[in-house]
Amino acid sequence: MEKLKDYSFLCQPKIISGKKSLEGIPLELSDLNASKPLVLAMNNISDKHRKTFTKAFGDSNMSFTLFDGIGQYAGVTAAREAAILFRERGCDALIALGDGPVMNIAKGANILLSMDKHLHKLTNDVEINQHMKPLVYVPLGAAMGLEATSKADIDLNLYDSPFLYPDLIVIDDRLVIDASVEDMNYSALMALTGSIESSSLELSNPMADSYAHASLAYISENITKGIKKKKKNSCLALANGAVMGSIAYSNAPEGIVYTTSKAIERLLGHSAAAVAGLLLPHWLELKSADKKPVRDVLMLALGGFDVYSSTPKKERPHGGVNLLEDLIHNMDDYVPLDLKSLNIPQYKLKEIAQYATETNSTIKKKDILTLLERAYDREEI
Amino acid sequence: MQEIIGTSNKVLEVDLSNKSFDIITITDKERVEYLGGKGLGLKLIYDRMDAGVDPLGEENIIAFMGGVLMGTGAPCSGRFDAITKSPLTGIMASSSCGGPFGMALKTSGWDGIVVKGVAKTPTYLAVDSKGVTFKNAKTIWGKDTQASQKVIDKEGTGSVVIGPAGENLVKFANICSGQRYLGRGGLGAVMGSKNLKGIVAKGKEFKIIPKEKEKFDKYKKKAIKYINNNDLTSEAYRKFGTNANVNLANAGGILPVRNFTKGLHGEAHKISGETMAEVHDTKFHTCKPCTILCGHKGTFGGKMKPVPEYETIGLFGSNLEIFDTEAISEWNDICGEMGMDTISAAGTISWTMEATEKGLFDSKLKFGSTDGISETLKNIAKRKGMGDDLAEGTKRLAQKYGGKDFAMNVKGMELPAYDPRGSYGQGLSYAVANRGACHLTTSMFVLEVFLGMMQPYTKRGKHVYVDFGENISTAVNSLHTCLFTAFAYELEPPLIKYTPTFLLNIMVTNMTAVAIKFMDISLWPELWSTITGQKMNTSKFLKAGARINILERYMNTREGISKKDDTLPPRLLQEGRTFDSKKRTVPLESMLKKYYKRKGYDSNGIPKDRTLKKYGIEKK
Repeated sequence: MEKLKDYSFLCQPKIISGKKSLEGIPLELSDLNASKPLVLAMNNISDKHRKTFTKAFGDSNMSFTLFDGIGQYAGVTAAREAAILFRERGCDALIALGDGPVMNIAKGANILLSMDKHLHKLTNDVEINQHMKPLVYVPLGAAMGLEATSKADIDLNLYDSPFLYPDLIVIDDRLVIDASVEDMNYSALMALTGSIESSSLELSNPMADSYAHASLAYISENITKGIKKKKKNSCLALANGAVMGSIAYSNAPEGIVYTTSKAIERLLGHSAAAVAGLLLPHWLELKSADKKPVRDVLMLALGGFDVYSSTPKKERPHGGVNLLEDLIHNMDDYVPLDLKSLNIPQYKLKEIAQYATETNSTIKKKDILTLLERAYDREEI
Repeated sequence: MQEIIGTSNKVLEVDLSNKSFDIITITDKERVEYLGGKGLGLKLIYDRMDAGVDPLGEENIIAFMGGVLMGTGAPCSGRFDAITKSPLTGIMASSSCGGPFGMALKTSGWDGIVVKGVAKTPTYLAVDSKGVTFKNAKTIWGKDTQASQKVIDKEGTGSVVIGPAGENLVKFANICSGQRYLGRGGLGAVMGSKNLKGIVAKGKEFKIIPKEKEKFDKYKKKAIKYINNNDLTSEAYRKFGTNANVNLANAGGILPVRNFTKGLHGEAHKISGETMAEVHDTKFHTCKPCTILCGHKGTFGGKMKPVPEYETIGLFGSNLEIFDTEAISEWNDICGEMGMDTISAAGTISWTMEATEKGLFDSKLKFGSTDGISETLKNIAKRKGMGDDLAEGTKRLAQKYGGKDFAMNVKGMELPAYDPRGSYGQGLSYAVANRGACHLTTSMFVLEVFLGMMQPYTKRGKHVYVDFGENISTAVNSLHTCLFTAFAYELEPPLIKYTPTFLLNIMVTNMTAVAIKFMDISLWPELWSTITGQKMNTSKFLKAGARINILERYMNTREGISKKDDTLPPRLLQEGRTFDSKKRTVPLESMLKKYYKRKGYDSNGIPKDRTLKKYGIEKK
């Protein structure tokens, strides 16, 4: 694997992570010249999260407006509603209290507020080329891969600009510990996907690699304790891992596993994270078979130094894939056995491949089909 | 003339690929368990078709099934079903029609016809009591539905045909019989993919005689009495057709307006049945035989034409903010001639208007303007220009261009003309209906809004009625008789009719199980029983409905359907409407949970093994 001779790496957000980190938000907002944030949240946000968040603002004399009208789907309408409320209430910053659709809507509202004063159109061809309102991301442990990145998925359109990065990410253990087991698994799977795909490029970016490997290590070490035992520190580490994987992914082109999983989610409604968990090992094995070696640092990141150093050099790439399979095996309840077990009809594979190439033209349709066919029926491998 | 006592129990099985046919014999057990029409058609397909086949591929099967009541003179019994795997949704679809083909097929001696394979060249089938003749359809390929029927109807007394939309595999192409349609689910595209332009049946070869004629006549008389006494069936629908629903829906705040952003409109009266009757001088134009007489024709642009039905009026009218009945009639005609479902076509047009307004899609279509709609509909049927995109329906459009939050479909099938934010039970019904967004599987808006028997903005008991309604409507569609008979047969028996309204409403809302027991639905099984000569009671009848419904669900789950698909467009779950004093969205999640439990599904919406066993459904 060659390293890029010249490379760039952008990590815009400041990250505050740990106990009581929420309480730092007012001060950080002041540093960003903001004092009246609009807080965006899901329509089913728990009372506990609402109270914890509100309490954190208690001594600051700073007040906020809450927009808790976000559902599972990140559409243009919700972004518009948030932007309108932002203007009506004279807000000056956005806080996404939640993951996935909440963060996408926050980014969408920010595009509207900064790029189009009349809120007319929000389309994919908007060139996002200017600084926006301060944006804060507060994860609730259900990250879906794009939150900490320069990308936003709004109404099935992918927007990408360095200006879309959040300015601040605040990871607080009191919030991330309440994520459901399903959300934590899916969050970990998306982080694994972002990290592995970004660190598996032909020409590697050492800065992105370091974030990716740290993310892999965090997830590998903490997944059991975080999900099964609900240890606060492990949940925090998983959330940190998700953010780091997200940042690594932000500095890499979109990979085949992510693109294909998203295509299946959009066309057939299956969770992209679950599908990515299924496709990842298959993709790495196809890479190996195609004489495009899997990097041995995968083993280092997932297995730790002891396992890595005690494994012969030649066996490390394959060992890395095995460790990944073991890790995913622990999430079996959330990762399908194969595509057939999801009752995806075989005639749909071509449609999925076609759709995926239409959303990401850098990937060849035949490569996607090969991956889908390999993952279709476990018994036929 | 020869006689058939009850049913012939013979179904034609046609293979277009090798131009052959066979005869399937229906057993007594199948008849009792699956009744006829939709139920039997579904079972025949289940036994013959694997999961995962391409709806537009050779292996897909389409079944046309007449009802048990067909040909007996039972009220409103001139209906038949088509059942297949839908190219619009990728799951099972069935549709019902009051055209002449059903009667022609049954009086040719067949309870149904099941078609598989692909013909090498455009073909139509001519059916008589001896079987099937494969005929060259080259001269009518490309012709519209009416012109095609004129040609092939010379060989029989009733036919089904597709128009250019079916030939061009428009995902919501329909099938035409006379001036009536097997509308929903893109069944026309399935015929198109098989190079099958039409089927004509000779008919009038057999007379259909109920097994227990005297008893049958007694029940028939009672049925006619109920229909003639009921306000909806003898007054509103008879006088104003299904467009009697416009004013009711508008008053109840469930009329779709501007792609389901509002639930009422000040100009709605212009498209109401009452106004249409006056302006267009409407007359009866019904399925045959019919006692309700809801179908109407009227004068549009100086010509006598079918009056667009409520769904067409609601979705091409208020939902596009257009109140010009002449224009809507023209679009109704175009859809009819080209062979396209008006619900999906209009739903697709309204998505296009909103997507254009929001800058997601490039078109000249605008809410409130009739400009360009006729041309767009023709282009959809021909898959020309942007019509090629629109021919895929709203789900695929949103997947390609965005705008999923206002792509008003469930499981890919466009929403009918009732906004469930004013009828929560209807929201649940749309979300779980087996063929996608369907207003006929359980018409909760009738209970909640039209009759006012249940509070529309609560969740209480809704899962019970949706389940009950599914079982009833599936059984009725398998008899097969018109669903509107439900108004009369369920509400006219003395026990319900003479119970004070306030008491009835309390019971319906608060004592759901008792209220259902209270309902006398015995007329349907009695009619079925006296025709076939086999024993059937209310409980067995409802169980058969449940069995068919669960079989269809199970078949759908084999195609990948689960809880993730039992949902509503984000607009209905997240956005309030402008006229509501407080934001109202459909509280689907909790209703869904209770519904699954009642149906015997697991938490992911999959029928449990013990549920399948209870209904004698063999897992495949």
